[in-house]
Amino acid sequence: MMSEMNVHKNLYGIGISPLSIGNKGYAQPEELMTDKNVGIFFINTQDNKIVSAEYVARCKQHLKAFCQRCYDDCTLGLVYKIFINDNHVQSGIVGDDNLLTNEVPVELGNKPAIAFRMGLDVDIFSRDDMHVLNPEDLILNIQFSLIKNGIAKNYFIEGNLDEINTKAYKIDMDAVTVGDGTNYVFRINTLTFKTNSKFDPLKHAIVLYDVLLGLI
Amino acid sequence: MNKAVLLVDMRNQEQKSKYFSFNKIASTAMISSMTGAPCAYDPNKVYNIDDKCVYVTDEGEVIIIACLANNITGNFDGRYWEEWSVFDELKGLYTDYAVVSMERPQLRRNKLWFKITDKNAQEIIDSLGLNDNMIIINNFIVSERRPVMNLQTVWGQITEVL
Repeated sequence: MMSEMNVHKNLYGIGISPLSIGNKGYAQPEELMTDKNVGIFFINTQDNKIVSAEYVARCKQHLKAFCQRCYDDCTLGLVYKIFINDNHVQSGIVGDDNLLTNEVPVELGNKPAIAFRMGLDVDIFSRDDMHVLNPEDLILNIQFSLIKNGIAKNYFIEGNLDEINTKAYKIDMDAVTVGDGTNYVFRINTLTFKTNSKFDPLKHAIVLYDVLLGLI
Repeated sequence: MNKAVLLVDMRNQEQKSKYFSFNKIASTAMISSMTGAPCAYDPNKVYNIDDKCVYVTDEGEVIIIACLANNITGNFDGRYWEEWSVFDELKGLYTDYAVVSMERPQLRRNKLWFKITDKNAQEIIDSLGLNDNMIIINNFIVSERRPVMNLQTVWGQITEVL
């Protein structure tokens, strides 16, 4: 009996939906917004700034964990946050797409980076029952350049998410041999997730919250 | 627009070093299981590829060394060990290169290494005034016997197969 009742929709119901974060340009002061693929909430303040306690808390925990890994491995350097998206959260990732719309340069001055490490706060879960999937199934490809006096040497790393998040990668300075100037730039060119055959974009979701870059 | 913003400067929070300090090793040994903690080289043990030991260099630095071959035992032989650090050598274009030097380089993971045995070659390198007696080459031939060639190409003779 109950199952029959559930089948019939209430044709007279009224639903109220918060504004999608993608339409933040239309938000009124104090209006609630959400990323409808993920369920994370934002609010437009009275002076039209977008804030989210949930997002800030998540980024804070991620930064704390990242710095702790740097301490543990003695890879102490400069920690940068890479802004991936104007909406803060990158949802609806299906794989094989470059997440960057432009190259991200980091000016190093006269001291080159000898190594770098990355920390990506990513959720990969089933949309059916929200169980978390194995992050090892997610392959990340990062292409970057070390530029010395305008001459770039290109590198790439590819590995599963756990591997990229826990390792530090040494940059061989021998590879940049032309020129003797002192202006170094580290530049991230592309950031691409690659999914395997287990991943089904209709059943699974990849959400990127935060990207940290450590230059040592 | 994607951009990078500096959040934390950790450079001066602790002495920057890729080497493990005594305190670091001691704390690692205390909090990890005894089988997981790296120990000093033991000639009675058999070591395999990627097994790690604690090693004190001639300069007194404490480093971790990783085994390069299987079934290594007996007296310590530096040829089968290389320095290990938390840094993972980069994969990519650089793997196409080879290193040429008189002495075995400390870090040569992912790189092909040719030992210079020809005195004339060493004289040429000395005349170039290169640091660490090391040059990086990207055009080379590896063979058991000297090839017949007209082009100026570096030739590496196979003297040992691991």
